[in-house]
Parts: sequence; structure tokens; C-alpha cells
Amino acid sequence: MRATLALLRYSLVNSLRYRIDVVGSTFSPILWVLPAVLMAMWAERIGLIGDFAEVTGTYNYIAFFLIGGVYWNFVEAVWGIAFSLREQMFTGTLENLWASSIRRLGIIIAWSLASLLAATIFSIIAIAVVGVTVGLDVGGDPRWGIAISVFVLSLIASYGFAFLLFGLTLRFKDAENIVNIIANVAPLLGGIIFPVTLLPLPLRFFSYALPFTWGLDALRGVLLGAETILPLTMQVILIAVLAAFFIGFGWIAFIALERRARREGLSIF
Amino acid sequence: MGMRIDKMRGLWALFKCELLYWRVYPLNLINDFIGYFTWIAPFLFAATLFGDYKDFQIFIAVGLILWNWLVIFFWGVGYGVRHTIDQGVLESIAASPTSVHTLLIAKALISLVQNIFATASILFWLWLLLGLTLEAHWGKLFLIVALSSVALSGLALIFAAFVIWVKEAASIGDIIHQCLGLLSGITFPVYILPAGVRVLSSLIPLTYAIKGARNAVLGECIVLEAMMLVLFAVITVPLGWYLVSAADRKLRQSGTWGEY
Repeated sequence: MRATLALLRYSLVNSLRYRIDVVGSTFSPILWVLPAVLMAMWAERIGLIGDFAEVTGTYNYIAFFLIGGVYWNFVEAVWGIAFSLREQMFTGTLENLWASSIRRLGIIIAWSLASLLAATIFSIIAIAVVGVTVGLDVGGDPRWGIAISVFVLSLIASYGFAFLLFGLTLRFKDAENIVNIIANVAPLLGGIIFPVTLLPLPLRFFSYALPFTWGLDALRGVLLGAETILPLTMQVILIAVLAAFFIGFGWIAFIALERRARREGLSIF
Repeated sequence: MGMRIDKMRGLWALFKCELLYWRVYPLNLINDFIGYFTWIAPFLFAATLFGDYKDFQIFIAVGLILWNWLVIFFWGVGYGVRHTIDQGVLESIAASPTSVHTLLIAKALISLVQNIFATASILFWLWLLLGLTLEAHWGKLFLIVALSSVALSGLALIFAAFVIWVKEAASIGDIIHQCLGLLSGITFPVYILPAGVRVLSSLIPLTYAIKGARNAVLGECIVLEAMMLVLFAVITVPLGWYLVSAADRKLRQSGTWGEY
């Protein structure tokens, strides 16, 4: 436990050491969704916002896009720690870390908690900035209890992804491309700024296999009253089932891949 | 004359080195073929939220494709120096008969190749997934793209000088390229921005690149945009060249070329 907390403290200090990175990460959620928000503002001016409301079930495009950006910020904060592992490989400190008294799960938890803490601060700032500048009103009667449950289940599923990507990165030294492809494709398949029902059917199958697709859709449903793909209760149960599957599968895959990687040598890079 | 031949040989060697990188890591090509499209695809699909208007979607697509040109030049040329530092070969190049300027020209050329590849892949995915095809006055479009390449390369040189100076500039580079995209109207016409912000937009070459490309697609006049891009090229390229020279000189004096 102490070792895990020490690694968490190190991760936080390391993140804050590069202040320009902190500035960049602070504005990242806003800058990511702003092109979509401005596109919607223009569409509203030329009378196309009705189509948006018909597809999404809400006129509140600012909240619609911002929820996607903030949600993805948290999800990515967890499974994005595969890049931290890659960094350890680059700096030649992976074997030292693996040979230390920190448990594997402790390493993952330490890194992910540091990322989640940063994501929380940056997301609060993003929401505050949007609220102050253009106003942010989710409207209606948001069901915060269900929203929090969906959010927590999404994070559990994200840990499953983190385990899997960790294992792949350890086992395959050129896993960086695999992780990059996943990182590039995931926002598209997850529907951060549009409902996945707009995707062509073959891509939609991949979308539906991701728990984040259902999580984000459910969040918009409970916070904005937007239409959900399935009835909300069914969707929450589905997220829970997918989260349980991914965390179990991810952990088993990680153990198997790590065992194989250690047999071949972790220092080969 | 002999020195010029040396520099050309050096340029060709550095350019070939960058090309070989793709041959050695073919998965990078596959990643790029998918990645360039998936990076902008969320905005393209978001555009379909406002109805099945192909003109609206093409308008958005053109802005995003030109933004992608900026990003590739920015990171390929501007941050390419950082990659060379990471590989530990920058000091060797700086000490060779070539120069860091030659390195940056090689990176600009490879970024141009990358941009052509990226645009082709994006147009392919646009056709396959969204049923969109680009129809334009191709002569005008090629002229705008060619002028944009020079102007954006100049901007990338300025960023490269900054990277050489501060060494670690990934996050600030992220903010800069995203802000440049927002100010240039990648997913909307610039006129919807407040008047004060529009002044900033008018100072960015990407704004004219996007407007010119959109006009070319509509078959409209591109003279103003072409002239502005020429003006930006005349300003940014020499300025970037000078700043890189200044950064080079400073680092040689302090002996910190190879430092992180």
C-alpha cells in the first residue's frame, strides 16, 4: 500500500513538474469539443438545429458535446496509462519498477488515480469556463444517482481496457501502433460528439461492443433527457455486464501476457 | 558549387532516411491510413446531425482536411526536431556538412508527402463511410494547396525554432494547433466569430487556406486568398529561417544541442 501511494505521489509530482503540460491538459476538454459547438452555433444560425434535436432528442448542443468531452476525458485517463508504461520502457526504468515491491495492480492503480485526479480538476475547470462564458444548463430533471452509477461502471470497464493494453504493451514491443490505433478509433466508435446510430452498420457493431458507447449514451439520457439507444434500465444493466466482462477478461489477459513477456525478458525493446 | 552539391546530397539523404522509416515500420502506414481519418471523423459524423446536406458536410470536410495539413506540417517539421533529439542524432546532424535547416527542409518535404497520403486516405474514407465525393475546380484547389503548403511550412519553421529553444513543447504545440484551427474556421465560417476574434483569424494563413479551398470547391474566386497566402509565405518562411538560425547559434554557444 505504501509503495503504491509513493508511486502515486511520484506520478502527481512528475505531472506537475511540466507546467506547460498542465496548461495544455487543462484546456484540452474544451478545445476538443469547441469545433463541434461552433459548428452547431453556425447550424443554428442557418436553421439546421431542428435536425439536431430530431436525432438527439435535445436542443442543448453545448451540454450534449461537453458531456461527451468530459466523459471521454475520464475514460481515457484510465486506459491511457498504457502510454505511461511505454514511457517506462523508453526511459529504461521498467525492469526496476517491475522488480520493486509494488504489486502490478498497485502500479496500475497509482498511475490511473493520478490521471483521474488530473482529469477531475481539468473537467471541473472546463465545465466552469463553459458555464461562465456561455451558460450551461442541463435542464429538465437530471437523475444524478443513475448518472453516477453509469459513470462508475464506465470507469470499471476502462480499467479492464487498461489491463488488456498493459499486457499488450508488455508482450509486444511495438504495441505502440496498436495502442495508437485504438486511441484514434475509440473516440469515433464511442460517439463522443454524435450518437453512434449515425455510424454505418459495420462500424456500429464495434461501437456496441464497447461499454463506453452505452455509458455515454445513458449519461446523455439521464442528464439531458436525450433519446437512448435502448430503454435506460436495460442499458444500465448492459453497461454493468460489459464492465464485468471487460474487467475479468482484461485481468486474465494481462496476467497471461505479462507472464509471457517476463519469460522473454522485459528489457528487450 | 561544391557546397551546394553537398547540401543537396545531404537533403536527399535526410529525405530518404524519413522515407525508409515507413518501410521499416509498415504498421505506421496502416496506422496513418486509418488514423488521419479517425482523428477528424467525429466532426464529420457530427456534421450529419444537422441533416443530410452534402454541401454542408463537404464544407466541414474541406476545413478539416486543410487543418490536417497544418497539423502534419506543425508536428512533422516543428516537432520533428524533437524526434531527432529523442533519437540522439541531432548533434551528429548539426556537426555534419548539412545543417539543421537542411534537416527541416527534408522534414517539410516528407510532411508534404505525408499530407498527400493523408488527404488521399481521408477522401477514400469520406467516400466509403459517408458517400461524399469532392468536386472542385481542381486548378484553383491545387494552387491554394500549393501556396498553403509553403505558408504553413513557414509557420512550422517558427514552431521548430521554439522547440529547438525550449526542447519540450508538446502540450503548447497541441494548444497552438487547436487554437489555430478554431480561429481559422475549420468547422464553421469565420464570420460567426466575434469581431475582435476575427481580427486574430485574419492573421493566420490557415484561415485563407480554408476559405480559398472552400471557394475552389464552389468554383468561386480565389484571388484574395491566393494573394494573402503568398504574402504569408513571404513573411513566415524567412522569419522561420531566421529564428531557426538564431536558436541554432544560441545552442552552439551554450553547447546544449543534444540536451533534453
